[in-house]
Amino acid sequence: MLDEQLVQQLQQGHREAFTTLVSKWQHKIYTFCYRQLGEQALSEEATQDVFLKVFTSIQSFRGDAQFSTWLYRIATNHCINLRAKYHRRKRQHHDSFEDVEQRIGVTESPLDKLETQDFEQQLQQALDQLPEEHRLLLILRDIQDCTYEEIADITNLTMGTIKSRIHRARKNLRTILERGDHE
Amino acid sequence: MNKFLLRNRIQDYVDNELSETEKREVEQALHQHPDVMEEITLYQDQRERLLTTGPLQAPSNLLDNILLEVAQEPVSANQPRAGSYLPHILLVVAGFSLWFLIPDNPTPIVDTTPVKGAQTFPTANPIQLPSASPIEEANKHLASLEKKVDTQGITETIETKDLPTEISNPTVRPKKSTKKKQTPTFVIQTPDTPYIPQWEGEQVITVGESTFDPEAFQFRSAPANLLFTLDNLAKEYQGTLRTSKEQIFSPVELTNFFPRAKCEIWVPTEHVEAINTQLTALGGQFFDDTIRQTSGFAIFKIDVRYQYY
Repeated sequence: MLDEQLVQQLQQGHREAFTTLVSKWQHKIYTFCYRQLGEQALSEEATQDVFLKVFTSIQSFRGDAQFSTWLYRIATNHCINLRAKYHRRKRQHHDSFEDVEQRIGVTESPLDKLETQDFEQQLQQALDQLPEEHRLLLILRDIQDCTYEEIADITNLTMGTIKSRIHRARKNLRTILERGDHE
Repeated sequence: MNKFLLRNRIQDYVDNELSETEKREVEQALHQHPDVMEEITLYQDQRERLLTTGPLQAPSNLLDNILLEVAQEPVSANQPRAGSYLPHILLVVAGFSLWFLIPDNPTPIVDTTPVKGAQTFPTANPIQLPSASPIEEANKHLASLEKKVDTQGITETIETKDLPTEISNPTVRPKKSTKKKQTPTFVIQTPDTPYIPQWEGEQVITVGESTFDPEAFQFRSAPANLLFTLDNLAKEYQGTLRTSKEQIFSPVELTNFFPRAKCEIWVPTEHVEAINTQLTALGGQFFDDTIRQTSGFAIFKIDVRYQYY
C-alpha cells in the first residue's frame, strides 16, 4: 500500500496504518538518526520521537509533499536539535563489537563481516568529523539513496548548492578515511 | 573537453546525472586523463560502499517501543485537542493586558525623518535590524560576532568602513562626526559557509545561489563571482566598480582569485535608492549613514571575503 494511502487511513484514526508505516520506515529512519548522532541509545530514542511526532502531527500533513520528504524533515530537524544539544558532550560510549554486529544484521562470511564491521565503525567516526551540512547531505544521498530532487525538498536548498556540498562532503570523507585519523 | 571542465563533471558522472551525450563526452575525455578516471573510480567505490554498509537494521524492539509509546496516546491524539489551545489563549490575554498597561511613549529614540535618496527598506530587507540606532546595535552585535568568527576562523563578510554617521542631503557631503568612526560588519552566510550553531537567531544574511556560483567556491574564487555581479550592477546605473584606491576595476582585476576583495560601488546619487534595493536583494543591507557621498556620487564600500580568510 502506498504511503499516502496509509497516511489517509491514519488521519481517519486507523492505528494499524501507523504500524505499517513504522514497520516500513523504521530501519531507514533509525539509520538516518544513527548516522547523524553516532550513538545507538540516542538514535533509538530519536527514532521513537520522530515517529511519535508523526503520529501526533499527522493531521497537519496535507500531502503537498511526499510522506517520505515530510518524515525526513521531521527527522532532520530533530537530529539537528539533538546534536546541538549534545555536540559538546564528549562521546564516552563506544559501541561494543556485539552492538555493531547487531546493527549491521547482514549475513556475510566471517572475514567479510569483520571487514564490514571495521569499515562501519570507521565510517561513523569519519561522518562525525564532517561539518553538519555536509554530513546531512551525504547521508541523504549516499546512505539513504535519496534523489537530488528529494534532498532539495527535504532541505529547502537549491540543486546547485546540494551538488556542490555533496561534492565537498565526498571529498572530505575520502580524505578522512584515507588519512585514517578517524579514531 | 579540457581537464577543468572534466573535473566539474566528476560528481554528475558518479551520480549518473548526465545525459547520454554528456556521458559520452566525459568518457571520451577520460581516456586522455587517466588520473581523473582514477578519481572517478574512487568516488564510485566510495558511494557503492556507503550504499551497502551505510544502512543499518533498527533494533528488534524498536517497533514495539514505538507502538507502546503511541498506545499511551489517546485515539484522538492525532486530532487537535481543545485543551491544547489553553496556553495560547492565556498568552493572547496576557499580551493584551500588557498592551493596555504600558504607557505610550511618543519620544522617538532616533530621528526617523526620511532622507532623500538613501533610504532603508524595512519591508523588503531580508534582515530586520533594530530600528533604534542601527549602527550602535550593529556594532554591538558585530563585536560579539567577530569574537565568534575570530575563534572559529570562519568568515565571509561585507564590511563598510570609515562611514559618516549622517546624511542630511544626498547632494551635500555630510559633516564629519565627532564620534569615533564605526565599522559595521555583516556576516554573510553563503551556500558554502559551514553550519555555525552560534549564529542561530543572529543577524545572518543568506546569499542566494544567484549571487554565488557554488562551483566557484571549489576554486576559492568567490570574490570574483561577486565582483562581476557588482560591476554589472554599477554599470546598470551609470556607475562604476572601483578599488579601495578609487581606481576602476579592469576586466582582469574582476577575475579576482584572491580570497578577499575590497571594492566600492560609485553611482550617481539619484540612483542610491535603486541600487540599495538591489544590494539588499543580494544580501548586503546599507543604511543611510553607511553610504558615503562625494561629488554627486554615492559610494557603497564593500569588503568581500572568502570563508576562513
